[in-house]
Amino acid sequence: MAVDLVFNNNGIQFADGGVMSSTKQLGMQNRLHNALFNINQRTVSGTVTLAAGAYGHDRWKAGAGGCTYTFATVGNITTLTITAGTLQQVIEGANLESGTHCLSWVGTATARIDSGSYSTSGMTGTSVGGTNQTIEFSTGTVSLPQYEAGGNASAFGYRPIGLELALCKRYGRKMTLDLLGFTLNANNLYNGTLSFDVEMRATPTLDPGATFTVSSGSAGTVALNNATPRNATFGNSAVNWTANVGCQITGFLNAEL
Amino acid sequence: MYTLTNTTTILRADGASIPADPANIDYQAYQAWLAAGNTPTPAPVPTTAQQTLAQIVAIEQATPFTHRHLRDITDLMVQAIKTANPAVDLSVIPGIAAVAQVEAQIAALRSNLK
Repeated sequence: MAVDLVFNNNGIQFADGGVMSSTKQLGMQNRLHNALFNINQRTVSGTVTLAAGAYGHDRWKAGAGGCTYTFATVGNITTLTITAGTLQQVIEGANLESGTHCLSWVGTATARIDSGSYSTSGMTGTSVGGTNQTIEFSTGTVSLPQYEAGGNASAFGYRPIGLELALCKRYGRKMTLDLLGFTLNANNLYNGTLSFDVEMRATPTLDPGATFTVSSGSAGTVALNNATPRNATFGNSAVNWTANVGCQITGFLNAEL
Repeated sequence: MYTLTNTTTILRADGASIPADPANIDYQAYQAWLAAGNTPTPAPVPTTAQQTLAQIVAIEQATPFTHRHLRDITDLMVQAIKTANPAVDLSVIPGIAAVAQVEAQIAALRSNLK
């Protein structure tokens, strides 16, 4: 069946008068993750003080000089106020295409692409497909950052929060009393394997501070026995569990860039 | 700064457990640290209790017991005890009661095969 299509400034107009807008849909043009700063698996709050390379909101980490920032949310838009140091995100090369890209944001902060010069919103840089790229903000306020293909900034693209969380889980996954099953003996679980709902970028590091919660006896010390990008198996390096008690884990798995 | 473990993961000084994945940036940092001429702390020698537990687990995993073997042995023991002393009520023992329940379920299923 032939379909009459008209391409105009609004997008594609169908024979029945319906229009499919040509504006970029669902925010997929934005190569930055968590650009609304609404994914906060590490639950940072108040004045966030990060050592060099440490993460605050998902996917955002301190630059080489550390970072201090506060944040406030109004009307679902979170604005960060960076008071010291820099805050950066490394974009995975697998999510980049070669060519000119535009970095835009709202606020007084300046930013740079990779090791370039700090500049104001609307700056451009060149990406190479498959090569990681770093976006770094200096002091000032920043909200709605967007890094997109092309030389011009488009309107900020909003993504559903569930999708954004899934995107972030490729790089980091919080475990909050996640059930591991039952202890087999003093150091092993009957299964002890936690399967990830989103495959991670790499086999994750178990960040410091992970804990077990058991239904009886000693909680033990968390050890990452084995892991893949799809699951992780845990054991108790303190070898002091009571057998046949329920076991949960709280901690953070990190496969960041 | 790094300590080996008895698994493939490496412990960083801050307590992070790092898997041996070349794509993991923490492992990349560890490799760079090694390349700089550093040496990790050897894995702690397992305690006697840990070694004993590991031996027990190894034996349990290597021994080809099946569920069927254990049920048959339990059934033989129950029959022997009942023969010697019919008044004994073995059903109060949880394991034996569980075996009896499993046997009953399987017997019911087998009847479907006839």
